[in-house]
Parts: sequence; structure tokens; C-alpha cells
Amino acid sequence: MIKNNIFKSTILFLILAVSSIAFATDVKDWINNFNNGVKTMDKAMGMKKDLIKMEELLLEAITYFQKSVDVYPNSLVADEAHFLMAKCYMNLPFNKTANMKKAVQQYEIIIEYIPLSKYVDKAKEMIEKIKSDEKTKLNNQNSEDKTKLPSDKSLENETKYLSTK
Amino acid sequence: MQRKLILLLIIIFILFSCSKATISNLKNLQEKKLDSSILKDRIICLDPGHGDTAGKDNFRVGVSGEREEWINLRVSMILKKMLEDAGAKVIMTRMGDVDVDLAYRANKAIENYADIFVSIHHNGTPDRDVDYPLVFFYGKAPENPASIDFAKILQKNFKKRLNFKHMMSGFSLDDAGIYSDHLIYKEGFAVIRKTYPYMPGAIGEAGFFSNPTQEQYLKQKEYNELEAQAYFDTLVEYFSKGLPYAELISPEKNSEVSNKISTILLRLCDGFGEHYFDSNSFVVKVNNESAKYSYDLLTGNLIITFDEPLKPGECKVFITARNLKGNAIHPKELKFKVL
Repeated sequence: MIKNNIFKSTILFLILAVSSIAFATDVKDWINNFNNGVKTMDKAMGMKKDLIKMEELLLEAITYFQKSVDVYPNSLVADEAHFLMAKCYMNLPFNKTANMKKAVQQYEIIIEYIPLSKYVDKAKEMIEKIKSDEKTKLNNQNSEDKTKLPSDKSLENETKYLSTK
Repeated sequence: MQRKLILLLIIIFILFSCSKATISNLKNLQEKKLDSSILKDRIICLDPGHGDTAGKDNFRVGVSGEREEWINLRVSMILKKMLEDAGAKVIMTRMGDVDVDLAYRANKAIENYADIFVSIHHNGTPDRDVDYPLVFFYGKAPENPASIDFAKILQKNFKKRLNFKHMMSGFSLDDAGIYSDHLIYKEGFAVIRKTYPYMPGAIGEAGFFSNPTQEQYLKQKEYNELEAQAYFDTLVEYFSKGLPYAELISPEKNSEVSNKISTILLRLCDGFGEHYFDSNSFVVKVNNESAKYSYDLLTGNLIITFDEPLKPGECKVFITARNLKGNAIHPKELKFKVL
């Protein structure tokens, strides 16, 4: 009889313990996901020699940060989560143009929606930098295209050729 | 020797008294800075959040049974009296523990031409460790500068007046900011969304009732008075910087005009009967596009000019600028129809 009671109590205790741990995990999702994001991002930044792995980890970190702001959009780490998400997008090794746009979106969330954040100035600075990099890239492309254009002489020859044909 | 000692003690006593008097004078000076007569004849809409939810939900309640709507109402009623004593006209969206429609709350502020809409709330979250003050504003910060001005002062006063010493370790009050309602809902919160075209507004969340320590404070009338004082100080500080505005002169607001018009005339006032604004702070848009304009600070006339005729349909003018005290014009809805 006593053994039976001890057994029942132990089971009950275990159920309570497991459920309270599960509950605690649930309510702390905003900070747990954020912390996991930071850890994963740090790990990714050390993988510069393995770009595939780096991309995989950065995408994983983005998922953690996104979960943190989904669970609790106005938490005390929300601005930092958006800022670090932008950092992850900027460091993704492939699809640079698309990922830069996603980074800008994250910076804009901080500027427009969390205007007292300590990350606002940095976010503005980063958007400016991305824009100016894009402009430089575009200018370089244009000048490259110009150098590829056929010279007047070759055009002349081509016209001659066409006319003779 | 004894005489010298007595003389020294007398000197120390005189110096101590003087320093005490100085501190007291400084305090008086600080109080004098906040001249509440500025509130006279101001129309302030107070919106105690929620109401009569005891039988409907079980999440707007702290661990010891204190309900959010009760705290909201207590703080609002204390604030109402403080504001009325200072000569303000106070519009209340609810006076008892009753459920009031969100559109009704906003309409009450609009119909009474309120100068500002202040929604008083307290926060709750499943994580009971969380506690910090926050203020919500509607939409994007650059499009709602007057509400941002108010929200910043309110957050500053929450931090100054209220107790958050029990905040989670690893965080500081500096981390607590002001947040757009768009982070929570795509459309924002109904009360500040609906009042946005008419007046600045904000939702104050002075603490988390879900945090057991904060709940114990929020239950006390003395603590509610401190919170009401934070709102009061904010309103005094905000209004003391003037309430600048812009009005549509030609074409008139909501009028119908031909597409041959080549200019729009607005008149700006800085809130002190003059027309002084920071020249770098102007944002002038017509139908969401930046517009060419010229401003005359002597008359307050702002003229928008177009290179091409306006397209037929609704024409919306967005304007904001900061007066010399730093308060921004609230970009009220200014529109007319082009035929």
C-alpha cells in the first residue's frame, strides 16, 4: 500500500516537473530563441572558409531571431533581434542582391517602428552604406559595359562588312 | 580651543542650512518649470483600456487577482481630477467597469475635438519575470512625429516616477523604448488608428500586471497616483512646447476643384501665435510624393507648386514641421478632390 502511494506520488511529481519545464520553456521563447540566434550567428561568422555551412547557420540564426520577434514583437531584445537579423542577411554568402534588400527591410523596421532604439543611427548608417555600395556597383558595371562596346573603327568595319554582304 | 570648536560647528551648521535651502530652491525651480496653467482649456481624451472583462477572459489578471481594467480606470480617474483642477477639459471614454466599443472611444475624442488622445493600459505576458514601461504609437515613426514627441516624454516620465528595480537581470531601463502598434497588428491598434487623422495619441503601458512585484505596486492607490503624475507631467511638458498646426487655405479642405490649379496654399502656426519653424524639419508631400514648396515665416503661408497638373481623384496633402521648441505638427488629414 505504502509502496503504491510512493509510486503514484513519484509519477505525479515527474508529470508536474516535466510540465512545468515545458511551460517555462514556452514562456521564455522570446529570450531563448534570441540567445540561440546569437550563438548560431557567432558560430556562422567563424565558418568563412566553408560558405555552404556558413549560409546554413546564418539562415538558422535568422529563423531563431524571427521566432523571438514573432513570439514577442515589442520585447526588450526586439530591436537587437532585427538588427542581428539584418547582419545575418548581409553576411549570407549567396544571392547578395536579394539578401541586401532583406537586410534593409530589417533596418527599416528599427527606424520606423522602434524609434528610440539605440540601433536607429547604426541602422540608418547601414542603409546609406548599402545604397552607396549598390550605386558604386552599378557605376562599375556601366563603365565595364562601356569598355565592352565596340570601337568606332570596328563599327565602321562591321558596317562595311554588312554593306558588302 | 573650545571656542574655536564651537565656531567651527556654527560655520558647518550655517553651510549645511544653506545647502539644504539651495536644494529646496532647486526643487521649487524644477516644479516652477512645469507650469500646469498651460493645460487650461486644453481638451484631453483619457481612455481607460478594456473594461468588464472579468467574466470574459482570464489573461488580463495578475497572480493575486488584480485586473488590468481596474488599474487602468483608477489611474485615469486620478488623472482626470488632476487635469480638471489645472483647468483642462477631460473627455473620458468610460467611467466605470464597463465594456466600451473601440470605435466609440475614438469617436468620442474626435467629436469633442480633443487635442490629444491618451489611452491608459498595463501590460501582461506569460513570462512573469518581464516588467518594464512602454508606449505604443500608431504606424510609422516618420509619419506620426507629434505622437512620437508625446510618447518620448511619457516614457521618460514613467522611468522617472515608477519603480522597475526588479527588472530581469541583464536588462536596464534604457532598453525600454516606444514601439509602433504595427509590430503587433498589421493594421495597428483601433483607437489610435482611428484618431490618427485628427489628433496625436499614444497608448501608455506603465508596467506589467503579470509581474507579481509590479502587480503589488499597481494595486496601491498611492502608486496609481505616481503613475497619474507621470501622465500629468507629460501633458504639461508636451503642451508647454506648443501645439503647432497646419490648415488648408486653398483649395479648402474636402472641397472639389478643377485640375487646372497649379498651387496649394497652407497656413502654419507654431502654437504660440507665430509662424516660426525649424527650416530643416519640413516634410511636404502630395499624394505620398515629395512636393516643391516655399514658406514665408512672417505670414505662415506655405505654397506648394506643381510642374504638371494634378491627376483627377482624391488629393492628400501631408505636412509636418517642428516649431522652435521642438514640437512637430501632427499631420492631420488634409484632402480635397480634383475633378
